[in-house]
Amino acid sequence: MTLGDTNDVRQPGARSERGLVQAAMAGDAEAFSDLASAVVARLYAVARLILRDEAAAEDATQDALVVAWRDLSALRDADRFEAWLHRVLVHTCYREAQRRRRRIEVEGQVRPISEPRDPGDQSVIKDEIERGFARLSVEHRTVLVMHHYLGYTFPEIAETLGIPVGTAKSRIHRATVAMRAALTADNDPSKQRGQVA
Amino acid sequence: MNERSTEPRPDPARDQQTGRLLEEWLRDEAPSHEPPVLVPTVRARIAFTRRRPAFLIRDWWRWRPGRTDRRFLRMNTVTQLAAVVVLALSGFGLYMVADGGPTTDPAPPAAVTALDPEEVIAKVTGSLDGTVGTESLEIGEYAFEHRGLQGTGIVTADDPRLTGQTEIVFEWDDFLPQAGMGAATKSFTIHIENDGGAWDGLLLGVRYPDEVYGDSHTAGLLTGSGTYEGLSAYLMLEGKNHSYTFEGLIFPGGMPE
Repeated sequence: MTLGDTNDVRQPGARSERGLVQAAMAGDAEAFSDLASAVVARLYAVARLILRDEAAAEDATQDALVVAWRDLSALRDADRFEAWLHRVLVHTCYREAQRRRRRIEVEGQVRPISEPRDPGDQSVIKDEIERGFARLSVEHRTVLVMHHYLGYTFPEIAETLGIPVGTAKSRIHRATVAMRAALTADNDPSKQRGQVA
Repeated sequence: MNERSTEPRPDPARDQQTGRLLEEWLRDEAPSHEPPVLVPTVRARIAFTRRRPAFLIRDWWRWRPGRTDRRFLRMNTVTQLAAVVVLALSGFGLYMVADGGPTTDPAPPAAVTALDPEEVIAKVTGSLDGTVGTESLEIGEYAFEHRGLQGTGIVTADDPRLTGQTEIVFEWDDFLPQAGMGAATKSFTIHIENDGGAWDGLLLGVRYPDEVYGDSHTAGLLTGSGTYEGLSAYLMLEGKNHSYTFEGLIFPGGMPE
């Protein structure tokens, strides 16, 4: 199992990767480049889920790895590299979202008028989840991705984001409730006309 | 969005179901591969990015809301002793200078004599557009401190030597007795990078008490590296919300001492 494995992202890094982290911490740029190659796919996947935009995810991932290299001397424990890197990534995602927010607000997106559909249809459900997820704030998407995709526990999310555990819990709860509300709203035809997403 | 006002009643069963649906959807949605250009770009950027020593990096990723940063108080004994020795030596040095004690004329940096001023000196104007995080800590009534906020941006100058990608670490204190208005003191380290090399420096600035949040008057000195080795750039920036225009001078050596 490796740090870059997208199938089980909770496994700790293999010994060789711990060695890479230690070498990178000591200033070995080549080791860090190898490490970056190993983790980049998963970092990009997380950024893509949080930001819902390929170009933004690419920029955020790129920035996260460069910032990680630049500030790696601040990491004291090689075993915590993964959590540390995720926090760096979340920060670069926030920045990227902020950078693009103004343009998105100006452009807006008028959803087309949709026809009533069978709410039990799997593709309909996926479509509803996608729309509901896209409507969440970047902070809410982040906690949902950490919890439901990375499998982080509440304390792990709290530690990674630097927030109290209670805040992490309530943020996830609100995000879940907002998702549920969005799914409910999408099934209500009276709310499907001319919404600005 | 006001979530509280539209929040449905708690429904654990439906929340679990929503969670399960979300899990499946996230797994399906997550791309399995990064864009092909990403790794080569990261490798190239890493090659041009210098490591920052640990003592220059605020332990920002361990920051917790409500924890007041008192780094000096957390120093161990050896570090405290070292700090005291450094301060004592600095004080002694100042005393000797003030007292007319023996001093040596500082030799000009070697780079000054190696560069032709006519070729390297230039007035430069441009702009800096950046973004920055929003973490802050309230330290008293109307007083806020912001520490170690990392930003990125682009400097566009009429001199290509100063044009490039920028990374910035902001530290500032706000004193806001009125909503959105009041003084501030700021410092930020800046790193500008392009194909020819990099510029690093510290910029210091203020906002006056009658100005609104975001305004800034900042100036500082950058030192060149790479093909800009031996050059300095003095910049004066005006602007707000991390969008600045600036003018300044690129010149050989450093400021006279």
